Amino acid sequence: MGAFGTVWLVASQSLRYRLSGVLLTIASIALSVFVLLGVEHVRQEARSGFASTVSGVDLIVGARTGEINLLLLSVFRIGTATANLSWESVEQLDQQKNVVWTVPISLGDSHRNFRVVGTTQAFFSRYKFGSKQPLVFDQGQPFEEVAEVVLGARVAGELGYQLGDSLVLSHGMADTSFSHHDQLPFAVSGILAPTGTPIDNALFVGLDAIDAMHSEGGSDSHQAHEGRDAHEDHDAHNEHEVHEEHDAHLGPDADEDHKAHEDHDGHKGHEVYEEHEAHQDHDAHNEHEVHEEHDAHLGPDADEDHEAHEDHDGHEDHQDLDHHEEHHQAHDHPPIGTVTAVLVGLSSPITTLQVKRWVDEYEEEALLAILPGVALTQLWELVGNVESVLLGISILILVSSLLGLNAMLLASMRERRREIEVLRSIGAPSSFILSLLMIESLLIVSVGVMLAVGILLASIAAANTLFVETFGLMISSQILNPSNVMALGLIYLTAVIVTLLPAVRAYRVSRSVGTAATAD
Amino acid sequence: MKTLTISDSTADAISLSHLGYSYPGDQFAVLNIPAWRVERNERVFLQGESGSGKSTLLSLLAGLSVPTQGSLQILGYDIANLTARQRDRFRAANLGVVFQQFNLIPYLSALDNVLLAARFGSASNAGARQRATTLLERMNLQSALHHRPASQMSIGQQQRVAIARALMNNPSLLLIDEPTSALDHVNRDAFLALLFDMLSDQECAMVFVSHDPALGAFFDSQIRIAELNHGGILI
Repeated sequence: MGAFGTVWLVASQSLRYRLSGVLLTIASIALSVFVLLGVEHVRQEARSGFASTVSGVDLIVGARTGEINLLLLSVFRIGTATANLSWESVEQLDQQKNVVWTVPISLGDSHRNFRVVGTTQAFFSRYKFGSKQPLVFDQGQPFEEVAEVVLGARVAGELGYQLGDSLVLSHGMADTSFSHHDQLPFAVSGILAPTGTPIDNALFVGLDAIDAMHSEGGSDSHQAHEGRDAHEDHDAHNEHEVHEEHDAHLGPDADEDHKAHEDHDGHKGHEVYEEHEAHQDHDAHNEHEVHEEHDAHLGPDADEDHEAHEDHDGHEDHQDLDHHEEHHQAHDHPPIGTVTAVLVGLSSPITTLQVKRWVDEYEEEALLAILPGVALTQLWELVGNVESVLLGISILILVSSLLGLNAMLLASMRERRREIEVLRSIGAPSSFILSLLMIESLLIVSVGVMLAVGILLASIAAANTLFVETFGLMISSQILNPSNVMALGLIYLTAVIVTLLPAVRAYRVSRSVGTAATAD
Repeated sequence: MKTLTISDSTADAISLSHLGYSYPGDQFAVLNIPAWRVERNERVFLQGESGSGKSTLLSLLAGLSVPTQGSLQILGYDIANLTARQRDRFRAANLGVVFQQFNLIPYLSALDNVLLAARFGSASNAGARQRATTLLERMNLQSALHHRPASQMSIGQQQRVAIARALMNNPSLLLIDEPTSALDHVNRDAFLALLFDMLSDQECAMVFVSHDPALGAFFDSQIRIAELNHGGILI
């Protein structure tokens, strides 16, 4: 029987002897370590989860505003755009040599309080979250037609939409928005898997769909809001609607159709409403707007078409612009031909500042480029109260668990004074006594810690299966982050000190006062 | 270190001169003994009330503490010249110590308590188990009791295990402090008879401390601590 064998034998008998107390101590250590590690882990996860709301995007470009405003708007879809980004600027940006891709996003509409994002198909392949995880389609695929919509996981879950369901988008954000784009119902083409980011709470449609809606919906609601009842001509309105629907479905392949309508429309309007001279302007104006809109979104690939309408457009250019501006103020989506922000991917991170400077110094428009990671960190510092509260809780728990550990070990040490004296009287060396006490304390603490870690990992696994489906939240199992390791180190250090001090004291006392006979 | 386990058989069991002990930082001497000797194999009855300094004297004799003045030789070794580690070894190998109460590790069985002393006291453990069993049986502890934890034994049984343990390493000096204070008369006399029976074939000196003068008759010599100790005066 070696020296260690003897210590081990005695320690195991000792632990078995005070089993109930030992179990209680282990349970209490396990509990406090569990809470400590858990809270600390949640704190770290909250921070890193927040910081990885968006990844894989090098820059976000928008009209000049505050950095955090732009971040809130483009990533979290909170707030309204004060200004927008012209399509020309987007194209210029796209042509910059280090820019690999750009994905425009256009905000301003909603569906039952969930924000609608107008974007391109590239969004689904370019936008990343977490540690560069791509967006995954739970069902379906990206929108292909104009009247198709992709739903975030929570939107689909909460509103109970399935693939192929049809839904109608609304202007603005208000729940009570009276202006719905009922004329353009969207079919659900895809549902995204949960991400645990604001992506889950959004609907995605093509930019052309946004434009299509507003070319019609804009004038419609504009009138309503401006209270131009005098101009409200039901017939004209109806007729316009018919026209609009065609317009909305217009792809590049439908040019002829469009033209055909054009003629017809102009004709009919004149014929039927000749007597309403006062409204004539308005009517023409509406019609005009449609064309304008059409122009804007058809873009470079529709040059001929654009020219074809040129004549027609020309005559009321000025009026038209005014109209758009008013319209924009009433509803916070960008005017047709502009977008809210652009997500930018670069060839190399080294060029980020270079491109950012180009954007910031861009002369045609006042623009701002932000680095999402930096802006997210800034934002976290603003809203980071949660973190400091959790940190405070962590510290309190650490202190209380250390005190608790202290109290328990001290109590058992006092109980063992006599035992130490007996060991001394039979000539046990101090190393034996110290290692006996140390092995017991460390064993208790270690079992407690292992229990806590085990329970925490099990809880994380359980929470993950639950949260991934509901919130898309994936808590990492990497619980031994530096601050947790430090906390564990402190716990062990306390255990060692708390064990060592009474042991040394007992040793000293039995030496200076005498045999255990005095202990009465 | 080897010499610590083989004591000089010609030297006195205890030999001290001008021994003084005071607590650290205290002017007051608890012990002040001009001279005292205990011969080899001598059984001494030391009579004294609590507070007479007997516990301090026993702690010095056991090498648990070191005199602050004078010289103290146990089995020929000058205690003050040994390191703490050497004193631990010396105690384990040469001394047997029995207290009033709480002599045993409560969670170890009677046998393990005795074997633990053997573990610290002797280099070889061969036959230790056999010897421990024999000792326990000679102390009237049936083998059924050998594996019972000390905490589940009566005080009389515990004291007998303590004697067996004290004798386990064939000590040259036994230090026994009020072992019978928790026993009634019948048990006390039986205990003493057993103790002397055990020592009859042992080459072993003994210092037996008790407040009860009636026990003195069993011993070779008896002395009151008050006669020995001139302490309690400022030195």
